[in-house]
Amino acid sequence: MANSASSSAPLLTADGTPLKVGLQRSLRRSKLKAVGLVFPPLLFLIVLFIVPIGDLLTRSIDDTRINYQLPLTFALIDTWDKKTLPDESLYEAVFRDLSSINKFLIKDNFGTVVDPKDPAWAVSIPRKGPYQDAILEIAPDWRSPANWLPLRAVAVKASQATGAAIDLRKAKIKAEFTICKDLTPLKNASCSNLYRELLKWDGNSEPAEDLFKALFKDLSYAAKYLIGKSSTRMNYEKPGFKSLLKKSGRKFKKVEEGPYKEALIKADKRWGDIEFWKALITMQDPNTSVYYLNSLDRKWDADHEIVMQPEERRVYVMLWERTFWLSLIVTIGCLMLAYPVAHLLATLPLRHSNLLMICVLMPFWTSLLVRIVAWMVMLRSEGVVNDTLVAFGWPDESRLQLMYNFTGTVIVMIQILLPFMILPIYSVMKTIPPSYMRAAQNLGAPPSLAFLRVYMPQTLPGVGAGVILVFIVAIGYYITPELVGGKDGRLIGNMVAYHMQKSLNWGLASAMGAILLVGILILYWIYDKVVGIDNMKLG
Amino acid sequence: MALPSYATPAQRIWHYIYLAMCSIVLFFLVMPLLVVIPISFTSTPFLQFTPEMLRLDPDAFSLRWYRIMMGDCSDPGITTVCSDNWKIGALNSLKIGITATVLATTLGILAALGLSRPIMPFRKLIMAMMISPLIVPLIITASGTFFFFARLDLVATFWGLVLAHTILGLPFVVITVTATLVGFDTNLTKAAASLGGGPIRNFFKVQMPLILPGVISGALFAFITSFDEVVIVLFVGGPDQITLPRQMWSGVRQEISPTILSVATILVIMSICLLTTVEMLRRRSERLRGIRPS
Repeated sequence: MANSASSSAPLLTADGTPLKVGLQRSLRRSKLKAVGLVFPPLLFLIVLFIVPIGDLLTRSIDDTRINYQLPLTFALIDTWDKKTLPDESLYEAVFRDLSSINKFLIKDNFGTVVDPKDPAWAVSIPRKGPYQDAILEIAPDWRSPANWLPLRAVAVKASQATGAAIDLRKAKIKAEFTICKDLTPLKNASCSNLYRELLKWDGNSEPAEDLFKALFKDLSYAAKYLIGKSSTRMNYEKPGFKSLLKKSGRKFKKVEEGPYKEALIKADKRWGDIEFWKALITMQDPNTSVYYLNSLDRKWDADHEIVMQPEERRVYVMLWERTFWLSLIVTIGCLMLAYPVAHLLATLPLRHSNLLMICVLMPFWTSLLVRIVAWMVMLRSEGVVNDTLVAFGWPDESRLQLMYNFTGTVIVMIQILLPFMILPIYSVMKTIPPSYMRAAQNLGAPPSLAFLRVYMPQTLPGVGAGVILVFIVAIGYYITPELVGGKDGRLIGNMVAYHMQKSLNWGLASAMGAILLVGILILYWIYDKVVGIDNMKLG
Repeated sequence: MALPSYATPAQRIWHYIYLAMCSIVLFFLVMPLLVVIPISFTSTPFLQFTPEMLRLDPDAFSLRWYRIMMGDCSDPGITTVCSDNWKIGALNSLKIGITATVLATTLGILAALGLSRPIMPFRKLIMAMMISPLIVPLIITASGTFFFFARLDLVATFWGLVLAHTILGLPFVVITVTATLVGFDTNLTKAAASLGGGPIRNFFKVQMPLILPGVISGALFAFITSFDEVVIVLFVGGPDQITLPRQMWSGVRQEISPTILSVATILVIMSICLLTTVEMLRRRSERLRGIRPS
C-alpha cells in the first residue's frame, strides 16, 4: 500500500471521497449505532436507579424542614452570646415560630433570608376571627383574586374528575394535598377546608371571609403537622425536645402578649435550660451532617465540636463492627467450605461433576425465602438438627439455641452465599492443567508443597473474586438477619429498614445507606480491578 | 479424581478426608431443601419428622397443607389464617415477574448489543453502571426507589413494582447476553447485510437465533429475581399488593405452618426445572458457538 505514488495523492474510496474521511465517517456511524443501542437501557437505568439513589443521598444531608419551622429564630440566633440565656427577642421569635402561621404567609420565609424587622411577623391572627384583615395585614397579596385562582384551578379540576366513586375520592384527596403543597413546604398536609371553599367561590368576586377562614384553618392544621415532624427531628439533636414542643403547643395558646421570656419559661421550665438553646444552633444549617455523625454514634455540641453520644445512646458503631465481623466470618467460612468442593468439581470427570454441580446450583436457583424457611425447620429448638441430636442421646433439656442469634445468621448466610464462592473458584480451577501438579511432584516436591507453591497461587484470582463478591453481598444483607437473626444477629441493613419503616428517621436511614453504599462501591471498584466486571459470570 | 496406585497411606487418608469434607459441604448445601419436601406432606401441624413419619406409616402423610395452600378452608385443624392469599400472591408474582422480564430482556439485549460493538465510548463505565443494581444492597435500592416513586405516584401500583423489578433483572440479561456475544462471529451479520437483509430482519433471522440461549437464561434469571423479590415489594408495594414472597415473608414472621413448606416444595421443584433448562441452554449455546466441553 505505502508506495511513493500514493503518498502525494490521497487514497480515494469508490465514490471519490478521500479514504481517511470515509473511514472516519463510517467509524462515527458505527459509534453512533452503538450509542443508540445503549441509550434506551442506560436512560432507563439512570432515571429509575441512579437518580433514586442520588435522591436518597440528598436526603441524608437535608435539614431544610427545621428552617421552615424556625425561620425567625434562626434569623436571630446568631446575635445570641451562647453563654447566658437568650434575651427577650429570641424568646419572642421562638414563640412566633411555634405558635403562628405567619411564616406560611410571608414571602422569603426560609432560613437566612428572613427579615426579622418585617412587621408582618408581629401580627397575630385572632383565633376566633375575623381572619381577613389580619391575614391581609401579613400578606396583602391575598386581596386580589389572582392569588387564589391557581389554587381554585386545582380544586375545580379535581371536582370535574369522572369515574368510579373511589376514583373521585382519590382525586379530591389528591387535590387537597396539592393545595397544601403549594402553600406550605409540606407534602402530606391536607387542605380540605380550602378545597371546599374554593369550589364555592366563583373566581371573580373579591375573596371573602369564608375563604380566609378556610386558609387560616388549613394553615393552622399544617403548622401543627409541621411541628410534629420537626419536633421529631429536634429530638434527635436533644432528647426532650419532642415533649417540650408538644407541651409548649398547648400552653402557648394562653400566652397573649409579652414579655415572652417569662411566659415561655413559665409554660415549660426547659425553655430556661441553656442546653436546649444550644441544640437549636446545631440545626440552623439547611445541610446537616448530623445524620452521618449519628450513624457513627457522634454528634455536634454547641461549640461545633464533634463529640460522642452519651453512653446509653451508642448502638451504631457496635452494629457497623458486627456487620463487618459477620461478613468477614461468613466470607472466610464460605472460602473454607468452597475451596475443596470447587477443587473436586474441577478435577472430577465431567459426567460426575455435572451431578455435583447441580447440588451447588440448586440452592442458587431456589427462592431465598424458601431456603430460609428450610433452615428454620432445621434449626428450631424442635427442629431437625436438635431432634437428630436428641435421638442420638443428646440431653433433651439442653437443646441447642441455633436460631434467632448470631450463630444462626452465620450458618444460614454461609449456605446462601456458598455458591457465590464456589463458582468463581471453580471456573479458575478448571483452567489449571493437572500436569502442573504432576510436574511439581516429579521435580521432587511433596504434594503439600506442590499444592502450596504451584496450585494455590494459580487459584488466587478465583479466590479473590469469590471473596469480594461474598463480602459485598453479605455486608448489605437484610432479609436473612431479619428472619433468623433475632436480636444479636441484626446488621446495618436491618437498621436502615428499621429507620425507614418504623422510626421514620429517614435522614438517618439515608446516611447509613450512604455509608454502606460507599463501602460497597469501593469493594466493587476493587472487584473490577482484580477480576474485571466483564468476567462476571452466572452459573 | 482418583488416587494414583503409588499413593502413600498418608496420601490415601488425606484423600478420604478430602472426599468426606466435600460430601459434607454438598450435603450442607442441599439438605435443608430436601428436608422440607417430606415434612410438607405431614398430616400433623408440627414442623418435624414425627415417629409415625419415620415408620413410613401412610396415615402420617397427607395433602392437607397443600389443600389449605390452595385456599380450601374446610380443614378442621387450621390454626393459622386460611385464605386465597397464596393463589392471589402467586398470580400477582407471575404477572409482575413476566412483565418485568419482558422489559428487562428487551432493554438488556439492546444494552448488550451496544456494549459488544467494537467501538463503544465509555464502555467500562456503562457496563459497571448496568451491573450496579446487582451490587447495591437491596435495602438501599428499595429505600431510594420508595422515595422516588412516592414523588411520581408510583408507590403501591403494579407498574411501580414492575419498573423496580426490571431494574433488578436488567444486569442478569446484560451479563448473559454479553457473554454469548463474545463468541459471536460478526461476519455472519455482515454476510446477511451483503445479501440485502435490513438490520432489523438480520437481527431476528441471524443474530437472535444464535444468542437465544443467552437471552433465555438471562430472562430466566430476571424472572426468578422478580419472582423471589420481597424487599422492594415491602417498601414500594401497597398493602393489598400480595405477592408470593411477601405472603411467605409474613408467614415466616408470624408462625411457620406446614402450608409454607408446601409452597416451598413447589418452589424447589420449580427451581429444579429452571436449573435444568438453563443448563441445557448453556450447553446448546456452547455447541452452537463451537465450544466443545472438555
